[in-house]
Amino acid sequence: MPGTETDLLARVITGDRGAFDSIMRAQEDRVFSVCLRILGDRDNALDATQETFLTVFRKAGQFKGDSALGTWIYRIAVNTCYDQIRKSARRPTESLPDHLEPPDASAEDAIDAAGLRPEIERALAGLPPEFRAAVVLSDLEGMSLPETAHVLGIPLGTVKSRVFRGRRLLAERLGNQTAP
Amino acid sequence: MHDHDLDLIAALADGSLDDQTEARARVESCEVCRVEFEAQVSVLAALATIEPLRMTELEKAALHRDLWTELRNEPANEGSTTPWWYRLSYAAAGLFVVVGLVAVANQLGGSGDAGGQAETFTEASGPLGDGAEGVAEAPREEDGAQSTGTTTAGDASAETTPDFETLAAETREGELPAAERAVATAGQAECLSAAGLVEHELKGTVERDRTYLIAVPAGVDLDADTPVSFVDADTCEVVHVEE
Repeated sequence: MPGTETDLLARVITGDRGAFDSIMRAQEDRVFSVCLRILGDRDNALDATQETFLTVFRKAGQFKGDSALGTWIYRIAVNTCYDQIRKSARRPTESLPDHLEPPDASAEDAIDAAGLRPEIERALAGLPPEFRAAVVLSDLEGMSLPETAHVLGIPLGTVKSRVFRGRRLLAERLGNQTAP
Repeated sequence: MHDHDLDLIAALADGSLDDQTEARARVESCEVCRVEFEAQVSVLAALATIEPLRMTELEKAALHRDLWTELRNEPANEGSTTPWWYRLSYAAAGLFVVVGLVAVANQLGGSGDAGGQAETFTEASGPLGDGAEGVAEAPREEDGAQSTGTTTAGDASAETTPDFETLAAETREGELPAAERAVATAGQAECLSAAGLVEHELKGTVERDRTYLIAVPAGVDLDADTPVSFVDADTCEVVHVEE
């Protein structure tokens, strides 16, 4: 773990709010992105992001340093999202079209400009949660397969299988737009 | 196809293979493998077109505000490693308060000499040092009427708490009387961060029973929907926060 992360977390443990704020600012966008991709709903993703950082603050003393701080935070984020999915007891994809976009016009313009994006987002949101999480972390967030396995808390072989099958399902759902 | 083939095809598609020889050979010799490979490549190309997802500045401001509001109401985090001697000092101070209260109660029940009570209380607080004296002072001020000092301090401030909702409305409408405002200092701006109101800017201060800082989300023009928060300028604690 980089020295700055060690120092920051040590300061968080002693109650240093500035240190915690630095960690949060460095990770919040990526945590939110992961949560939104997994949950498919903007409000739920914001709730999960907040819950993630509350957990990070509360459990800062439990971080063992056997991975990057970011990896540990993403693992908390993914588990928080899974908890939300379990609690909601329904597939989160139902509300995707209404809530994925931020509520301001400039961002909606950016989405329109992305062309294929809405179809891809819907196809992604339609994947089973465990496949979606693997594809999101590996192919969208750019994590290595071992890092993805660590975040998801599953064996490397399982991650490889989920990524492959997740992509295959996406190809089927995207049909002629992307499949060969 | 075996799992090994799937792993090879996936890795070839995302470019994570150092040596692509075996994977290339497999794809070229097996029609099913080739179709799988092309499907993987096309999906990765599609995923690459997706824009990054980000919070808006308003969402970030709300996240930070809500998070710090939540954390402010919590005790130290689980990982806190407060030294034993430090915890012991709290216990000693607490014990001292109890002993002091008993002493005060005994005095009240006897001669009723208020000056003697205070003097006795102050003398007893000496050996525990400044920190313990600070804890012991509250019961002396409330004249022994309550079991703890903090309750009275809270009640006293509650009695003079300004109407923050009205102040917030006046701030939004630009109707806060100039005479009630003071020029904010650089130190007061830092107080907002200490209070957890990051992504906020200092809009001014208002003088009531004490000085309060007026905070609004940074870069946002004031309108009827702008959330306005207030921070105690002395303690840097949020005293009123709006969604």
